[in-house]
Amino acid sequence: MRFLRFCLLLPLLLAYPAYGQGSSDGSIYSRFGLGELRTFGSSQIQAMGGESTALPGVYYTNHSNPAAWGDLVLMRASIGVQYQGIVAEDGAAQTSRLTSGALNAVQFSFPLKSRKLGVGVSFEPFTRSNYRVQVRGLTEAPASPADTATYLIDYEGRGGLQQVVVGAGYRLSERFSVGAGVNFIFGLQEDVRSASFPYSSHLPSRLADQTRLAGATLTLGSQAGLTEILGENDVLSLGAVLRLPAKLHGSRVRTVGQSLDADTLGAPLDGSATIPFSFRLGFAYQPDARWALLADGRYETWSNFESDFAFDGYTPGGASNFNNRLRLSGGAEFLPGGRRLNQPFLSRVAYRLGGYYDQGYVSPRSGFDVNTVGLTAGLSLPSTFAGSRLDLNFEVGRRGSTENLLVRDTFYRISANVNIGERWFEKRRLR
Amino acid sequence: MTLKHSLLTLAAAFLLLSAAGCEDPSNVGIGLIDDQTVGPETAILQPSRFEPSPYDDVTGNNDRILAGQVQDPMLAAITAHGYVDFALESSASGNFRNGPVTRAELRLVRDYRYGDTTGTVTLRLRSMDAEWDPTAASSDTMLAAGPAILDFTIQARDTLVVVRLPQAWVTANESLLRGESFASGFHGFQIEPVSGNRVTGFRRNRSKFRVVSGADSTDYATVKTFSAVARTGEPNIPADYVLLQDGFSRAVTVDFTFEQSEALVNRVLLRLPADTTLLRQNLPSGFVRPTLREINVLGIDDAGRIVTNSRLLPQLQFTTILAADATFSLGVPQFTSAAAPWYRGVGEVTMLQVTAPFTNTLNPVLLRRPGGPARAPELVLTLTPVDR
Repeated sequence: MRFLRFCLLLPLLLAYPAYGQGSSDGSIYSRFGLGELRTFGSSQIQAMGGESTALPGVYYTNHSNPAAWGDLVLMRASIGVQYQGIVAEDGAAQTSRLTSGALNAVQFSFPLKSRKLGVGVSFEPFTRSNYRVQVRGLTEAPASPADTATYLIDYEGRGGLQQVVVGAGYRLSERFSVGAGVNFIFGLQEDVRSASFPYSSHLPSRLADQTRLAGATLTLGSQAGLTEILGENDVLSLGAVLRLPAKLHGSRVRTVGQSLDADTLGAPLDGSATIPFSFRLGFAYQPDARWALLADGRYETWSNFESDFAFDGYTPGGASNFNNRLRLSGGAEFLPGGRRLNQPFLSRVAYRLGGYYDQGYVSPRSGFDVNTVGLTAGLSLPSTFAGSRLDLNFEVGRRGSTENLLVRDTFYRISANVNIGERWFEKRRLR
Repeated sequence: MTLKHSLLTLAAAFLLLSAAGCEDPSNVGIGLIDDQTVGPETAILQPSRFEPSPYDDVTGNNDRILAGQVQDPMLAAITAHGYVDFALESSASGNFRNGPVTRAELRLVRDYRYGDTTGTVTLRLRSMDAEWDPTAASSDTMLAAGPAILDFTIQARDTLVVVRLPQAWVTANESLLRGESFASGFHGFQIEPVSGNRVTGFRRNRSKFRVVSGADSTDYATVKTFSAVARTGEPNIPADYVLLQDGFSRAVTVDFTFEQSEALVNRVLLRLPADTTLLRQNLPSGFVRPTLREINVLGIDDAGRIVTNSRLLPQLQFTTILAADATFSLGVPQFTSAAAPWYRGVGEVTMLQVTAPFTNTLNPVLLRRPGGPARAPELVLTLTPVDR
């Protein structure tokens, strides 16, 4: 029990600094719109292309689809962190190397009635803004060349939106489940422009726009499972998820100076931003206990995005570089030993592979889409604690291009996730 | 691998990731931002106002006492009256207290000269008949003095001037000089110019009033000083200069018209070009006119009052010295911090006032007015625009 308490407290301990940690450096594209969109269904799904609405879980809870919570047998908790490296290159062949660390998610689920009714809770990033770009320049003083000063400007983005999803899944029949979750979306995005000088006589300056947003929406999901499609033990699962539009309310404050010494500039601007609906559809095919294949698609109508706040790429009542988003992904898992526990260690390691294509929802320059393609892979290591695994995932991908003043990001991600499963609410029988 | 090991591995990984940060940020991607923002800019402003203004040049309780008169060929006739008062220390010996007083002398240590440094100067010592308050007394304050005690002369080379008071004065004041009522009954001396062409400055903390009584001598400590300075006639200076002269209750008020802007202030540099060569030209032989090499810059409000503290904003009060390029330049970060609210129109400071420092001299400097062909006073602002 002490160990379980430790396991439950650990995510909270780890989540807090991770939540606050937004100062690391990532893609310049996270400056635009609401930042880089993030999803995390489970560490299993992360290694198989990043999305799955249909995958049923044995060792994992699929938090991509609330309907999957109806399938739960064990209490499950998981937490993971991710390290990202980016090499950004522009048309002039200049490069910059940026790295960052971030929380994948903290997820928790448990069955109220095994394989009938289950509850899921997850805390995960919804968007992330973590760019950093520097530029050097000279102040112009034509009438007095001696007063020309060199400066360095740092453009930095921090923070983003987080979401807490709380919901339940219910298995209507052996083959069909439904589920619903409430998404509480909230967060703070900060865009900072700092100027510094290589002279002690000049004071640095820091201007920050802080946009705070919060709101809620509903996610509805369903899963259907068909058996014996192509073989005796195969399972074909289909999943669909609809997230309704969310109106986030909040305010934007412009501050000058550092943290506690910061002065507010002007009155806070109150307003809202509406996140469009999202529809996901996918299938998962498991020929036997050793293999899983999946494919998914996501469509989001970001061209309908509305906001009282201006974001890079969006002007209220004016120009918008927001586009509808399409994300396609697929992946496979191979578990040599299947579900048998008495196999050698290597046979109980799961090997995963996947890939995806993501049509960006916002463009820095009108008419030039920023698309992402990536390959994912993962190793799932079994532990001596039944139902629990340590997953190591890898991802490499490219975003954007070096044409039309854009930037091409080549990124790699390494993440580590711990998944714990334990039986709850089980009456012990006296013999 | 146990689960506990897994969790420890994850915790260690997280700590490593927490330290992850930028490796090599550069301007890659700036093209996506550049057209939306601009960098810091330099703006150079000339004063919208640059003129002499009244100012209380406090000479009360200064470290120097000025006395004498000078006919300055450029800056007109100047007279200075010095005032000094002393206190008898309570630790004076019994011998001293019992008397008799046989000698009293004023010992003045010279540390400043303005005017003819070759001739003799005659000054008159008067007693002060009433209590006087030097606190916050400005140089244009006149104090009434009592009867003359004696005239004394200062030779050109004298650095210590010993003024022995007449025996008649000593006898008349004997009980006062060694008694308990000295503090209430003795009010000091005035040093008045009589003749000569030089103003002399005496160091306060080295000047003494020495009394010999009962074979003991005691140096009375200086407790109050004051210098009253007056000018007769008008200085003869070129029209494109403003005279700033220490000892006179005149300052220079400087104002700039700022465009309404919320820009962030990275630097404020005040430049006040001066001319020191004019002040050195055509001087009579042996005539010394030291140049003012240090000025104060103060923040004042609309009514001309010095703003000492404004809504927790830093006080705008700085000193700067004359550089080799004959310019007073003030651009230290502390000045920028204090001047930024002035630029933004926050707080009570609306103008600057340039004054001589609290050193009690007659040193002048000519500050160049704006608008002339030569380099003018200016404010160099480095600003970061706020608008995106």
